[in-house]
Amino acid sequence: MSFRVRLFAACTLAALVPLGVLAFGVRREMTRRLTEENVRRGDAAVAALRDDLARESASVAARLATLAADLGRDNRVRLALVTGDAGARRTLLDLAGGAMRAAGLDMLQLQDSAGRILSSGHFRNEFDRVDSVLPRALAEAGAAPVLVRARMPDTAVVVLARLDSLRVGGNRLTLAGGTTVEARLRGPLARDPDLSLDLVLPGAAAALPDGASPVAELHLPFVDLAAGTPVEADTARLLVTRSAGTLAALRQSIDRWFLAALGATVALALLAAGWLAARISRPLTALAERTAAIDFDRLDQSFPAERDDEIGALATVLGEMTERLRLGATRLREAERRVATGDLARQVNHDIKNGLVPIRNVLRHLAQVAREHPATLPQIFEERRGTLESSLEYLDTLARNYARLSPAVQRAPCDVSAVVSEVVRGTVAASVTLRAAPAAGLLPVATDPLVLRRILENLVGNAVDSLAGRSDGVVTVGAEAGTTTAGGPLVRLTVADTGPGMSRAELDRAFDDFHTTKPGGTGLGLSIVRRLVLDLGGAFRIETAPGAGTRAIVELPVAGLRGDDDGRPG
Amino acid sequence: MSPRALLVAGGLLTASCASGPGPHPVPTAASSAAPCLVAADSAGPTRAIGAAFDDSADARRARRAAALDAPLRLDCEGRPSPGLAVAWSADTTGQFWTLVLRAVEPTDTGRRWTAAALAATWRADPDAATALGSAGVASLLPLDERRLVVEFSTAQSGLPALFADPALGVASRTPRPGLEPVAGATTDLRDAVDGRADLVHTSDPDLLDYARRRPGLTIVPLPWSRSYLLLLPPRSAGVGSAIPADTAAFRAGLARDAVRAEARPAAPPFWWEAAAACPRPTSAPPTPRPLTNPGANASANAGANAIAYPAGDAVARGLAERVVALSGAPGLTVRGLRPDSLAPALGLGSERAYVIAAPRHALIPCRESAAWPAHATVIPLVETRPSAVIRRGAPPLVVEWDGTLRLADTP
Repeated sequence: MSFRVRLFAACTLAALVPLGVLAFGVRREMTRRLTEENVRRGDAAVAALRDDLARESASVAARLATLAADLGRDNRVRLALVTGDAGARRTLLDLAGGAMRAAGLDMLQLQDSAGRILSSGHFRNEFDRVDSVLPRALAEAGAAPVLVRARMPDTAVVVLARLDSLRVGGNRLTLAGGTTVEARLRGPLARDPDLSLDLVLPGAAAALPDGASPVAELHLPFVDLAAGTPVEADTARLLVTRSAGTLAALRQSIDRWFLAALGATVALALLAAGWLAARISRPLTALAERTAAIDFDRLDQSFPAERDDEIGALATVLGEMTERLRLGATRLREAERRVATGDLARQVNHDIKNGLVPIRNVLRHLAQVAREHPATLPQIFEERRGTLESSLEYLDTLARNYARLSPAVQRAPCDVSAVVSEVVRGTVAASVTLRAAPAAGLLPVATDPLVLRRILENLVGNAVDSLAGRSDGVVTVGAEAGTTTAGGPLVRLTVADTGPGMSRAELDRAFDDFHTTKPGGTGLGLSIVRRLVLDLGGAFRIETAPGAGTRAIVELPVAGLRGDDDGRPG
Repeated sequence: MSPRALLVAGGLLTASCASGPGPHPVPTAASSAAPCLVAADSAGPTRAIGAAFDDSADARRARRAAALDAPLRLDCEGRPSPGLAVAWSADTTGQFWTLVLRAVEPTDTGRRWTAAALAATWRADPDAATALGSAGVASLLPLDERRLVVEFSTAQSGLPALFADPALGVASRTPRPGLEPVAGATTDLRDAVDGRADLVHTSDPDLLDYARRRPGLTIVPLPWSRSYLLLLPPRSAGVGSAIPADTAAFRAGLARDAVRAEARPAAPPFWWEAAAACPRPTSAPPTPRPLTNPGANASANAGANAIAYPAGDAVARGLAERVVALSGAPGLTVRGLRPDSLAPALGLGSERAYVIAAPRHALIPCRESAAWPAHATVIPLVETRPSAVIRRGAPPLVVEWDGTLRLADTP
């Protein structure tokens, strides 16, 4: 997993976890408060229902009392009960209907002491059915409200019923009546969209809508007259239920906002991860790549400390470490050079001794002859002359041979612009445009002009070779003033071409000894340049890309500054 | 002339030439209509009278009887009298009946009822064509301007009642005084009783009681003209224990207590028993239907849990309610259906049962029962009759075979 992905995941988690906790908390708190509020409203609605039912029950009882008094005085009732006359019976059958409507009731049933229905207002033709359950249940309930599911010809309705009685001709009659409660039950909750009321009959399960939950209950005696056969009184429940609609809508709203926040968070996490990667990951990657490129022969890597944070400190440390490595490498090469010089001195000593020994022997021989046989001296000289000459020739040859060995770098203030111009003038390239662009007023650098010339000749030659086969190639040799990482002055030499450039892999191999892409090349050019630059205490790097040409950069300390201290280019 | 027409004409000539009474005596016009005459104490001259009806079907029949003439009329005792036809005869086979129309005179509209015009009108009129088809008429053949031969597919043992069917009625030759509806008396018929109408046709006992307390009125019970039936479709779940074994007592109880109209237990003969052999549309064979075990045979219409009745018919509703009250079937209710809903429901047999009103007499049984559910079980319940409240001085009225009132013809 890359650092960038980890950054993204961390940013996302850092935002999502508190966001999720917040959403969960809000949902939970909202549900709790809404539930408590609904319970309070449900309790209030039940209390209002209870009071309303009590008032309506008292009203029904009052109307039944009035009816009972009127029917007790009604001659038609008395005639029907006493005489059994057919006409009076028909009058009695129709009696309850008119009385029910006049009293504003929805159910009215006149029954004899055995429970036989004498007249029914809500179901006229239900006469003669025996029902003792209703009078008994209503009598037992007394003044308490009783719900009755009354059977009508075309439907069944639930009424709030009460009971009264009257005595006609020695017969005790009961009068059961009531009003429908459907609208009355809905009344207290009519304007409450969250609460609803359901009448749950005995033996039936509450059919709650999806998500609805009960919040309050009211138990009432219940008699079911619509079941076909008389059923004993039971208990019905008035169930106040809370709709899940409002809560669901609130939750959906929260979820929508949460998703919006989630989307924004992910987007911000992406941006933050990208920004952090640009600030942290990419510089680290660049430092890692530069560090990986360091080896003994490539200690010219620079670590610009452009930041004032930990990465900047790391770059500084790496730069200092590279600098120390470069200094160590220089010292090591110096030590090697000194070792090599000692060996050479011993070899020269040995070789000279080898050359002097015959001469010393001939001279000793000639001295002996002159002392002992002076007359033969010319003859003997002639005989040994060859030995002397060969020894002298050997020494001469030896001297010439040692003279051809590279002398030590002799640093001295050197005019870079002059060397640049001299190299450009001395380079022959028919199809390439060579430009010298040294800046004016450059400080002299501490170098050997011959070494500097070798460096530039190698770089210009490589640039010209990279333009082989092209007629529009341009090679520009420039020189400009610069500063080291410590702020010291330096001179930056650049050799830029418009050639094909190099890939990263090609560049890595370009510094290897004996690696070449040119026919007849030795593969030592850039390697020699690097060593020469390092010997001068400078830095060397190449900036190139496929199709973008190549730019070789040599940075040399100006004269007067030591190459092995802070005057070294960064 | 087609070969079939030639054959018919030949048969009729043979019948006309035959002497002496044949197997089918030729009826003549009724000599006396007194038993069917309804008149107040002092009958006045024939004139148009204002009439109010508490049943729109009765009102329609009365208007139709006054405005249209069938070939002949049947009074409340089934006696024929001339209508559009002044004479009728049959051949010896009883299949060919010849109607002799009144003298050809133009009607108010200028139309002349020749035999050919009458035959063409009947063929073109859907109701008349249905009546002819249901009665087994094979062809109509005008012999001349006044004689129309009616060929039946089977021999008729007596004067075909078809000839008195209102569906064959056409506009009268001359306008006759009729029963004019009383404006504004439809909501409260007591207003009509109190002076706006000479005739109030009602079954409402409260209205009759009111009329009895008003002077100058005569209340005449009319013939038992309507039967109320309980129809059980073949796949019905039945009506539980509503129908006891003692159907006579059951019917008597219904007539006495369940309806608010003058009613009596239904008594045979029942014309619909003759309709059992009528051709019906192809349907599933009937299955046994229990009367006392609800749900034992619930199948196609097991979900139906109502006894349907014609909305607005208080007698039918009372009977349906009583059946529901006695059935003991859980959830069984009554359901009033308007005519446009009742007709398809009847045809499909989609309800558990039906309480409907039917004429007590039917000239064409197959046509009357065509709308009932196929293979339905018919349980007669009660019969009802309306009464006529007639203002003294009103012209005499005649009751026809189906209880329809019309003004008596001027002697």
